[in-house]
Amino acid sequence: MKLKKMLGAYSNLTCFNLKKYNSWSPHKCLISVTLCWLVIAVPPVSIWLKSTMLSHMLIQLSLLVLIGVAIGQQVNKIYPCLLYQTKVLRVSLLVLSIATMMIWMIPRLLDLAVENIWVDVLKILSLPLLAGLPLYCSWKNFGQIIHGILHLEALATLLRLAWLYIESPSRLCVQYGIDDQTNLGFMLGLISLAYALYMLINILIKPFVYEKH
Amino acid sequence: MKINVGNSIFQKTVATIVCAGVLASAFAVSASATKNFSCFTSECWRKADIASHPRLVKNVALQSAQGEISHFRDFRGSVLVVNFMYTHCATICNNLGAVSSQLATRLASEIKQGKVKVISISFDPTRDDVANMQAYIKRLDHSQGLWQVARPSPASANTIIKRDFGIVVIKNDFGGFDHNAALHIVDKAGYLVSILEFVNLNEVEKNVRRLL
Repeated sequence: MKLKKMLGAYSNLTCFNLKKYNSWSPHKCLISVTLCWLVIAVPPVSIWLKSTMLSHMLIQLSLLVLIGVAIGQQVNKIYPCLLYQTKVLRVSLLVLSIATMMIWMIPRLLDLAVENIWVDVLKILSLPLLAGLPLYCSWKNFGQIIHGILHLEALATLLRLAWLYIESPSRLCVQYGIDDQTNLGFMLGLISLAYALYMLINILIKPFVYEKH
Repeated sequence: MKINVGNSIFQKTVATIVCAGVLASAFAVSASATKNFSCFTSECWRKADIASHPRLVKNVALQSAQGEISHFRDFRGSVLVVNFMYTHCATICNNLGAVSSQLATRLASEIKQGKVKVISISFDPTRDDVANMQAYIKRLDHSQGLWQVARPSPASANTIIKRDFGIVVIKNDFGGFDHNAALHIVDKAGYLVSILEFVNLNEVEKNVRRLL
């Protein structure tokens, strides 16, 4: 019972698709997601997030993309034609989303986001709107094969980045130290391990669970 | 209203055109952010920028390890090899110092004629006083005084280090600093013309001799 309550509070806060526990209306969820967006975008929190490479890349950038996805979910509840109407453009939206994420992986842009406020604003606006939201719209319009390919490619990218950050003898960002970079590399490695494990469980165990039902 | 999504030729054409547009703009943005896919880091960008647009170094006062005050303009007429460091650094600045002293040995005759100067400039001028600079030289110099160490006045440090040379200095966890480590070549007219890796001394020496 306690766990159920906790899960409910968690899903209310983040508005992920735990439908069973989520008692908030989509409008309320949309407002709370937007507030989250604002909180991680404006100073006290954003300065703290940008203070290390690890929190900048792993927490701020990925949260911004997740916020875009969450916005997509809520908009889809309010306006159910969203997915149907974006189906025609699903390939373009996927390309847009992947391209935006790839561009923000360029080390120089990470530096610029720390140095220049306008680049930071661009980052805060573009990641949810040009990466997260299109990703949600296109993801739902693709089948399992494309999902599998994308999962695999995401895993490979994470591993490649982990390798790069651990092995690089020189600093890739002038704003962050080499230890910070190695930490990030190991963290990316851990995350990709967890991701791989999750995928493995999905592939090996889920089919049997479905069979039982 | 019922639309047959993805079935009409018109819709498919529009989707293809939009996709091509997205691809093209993504390509254009990433090309402009990476100097046509040649520079992915800020350090590379700094080097490429200087190589294409040499920058005039402002005239700031420098104090040498011997305590003499000179100005950057006084060095005009000789080629400078400049690097930036702080004397209590335990890692890369020691390499930089050793490399500078090695380079000074290689260019000994030019230095004695006043054609070349190899200078390490401190970016922590409040802590790096004359005594600290002399200790640093004593620790690393093998060129019998051909290599010089200097500090700018604290007030003008930011001008020369950050604005003219584009050095970014950040504090690290061990009470020291992380910073760009490279050799900066300033020509006879006082322009910063190239930034080179300090690992390849032959290349640096060749570049200096070309400017003589």
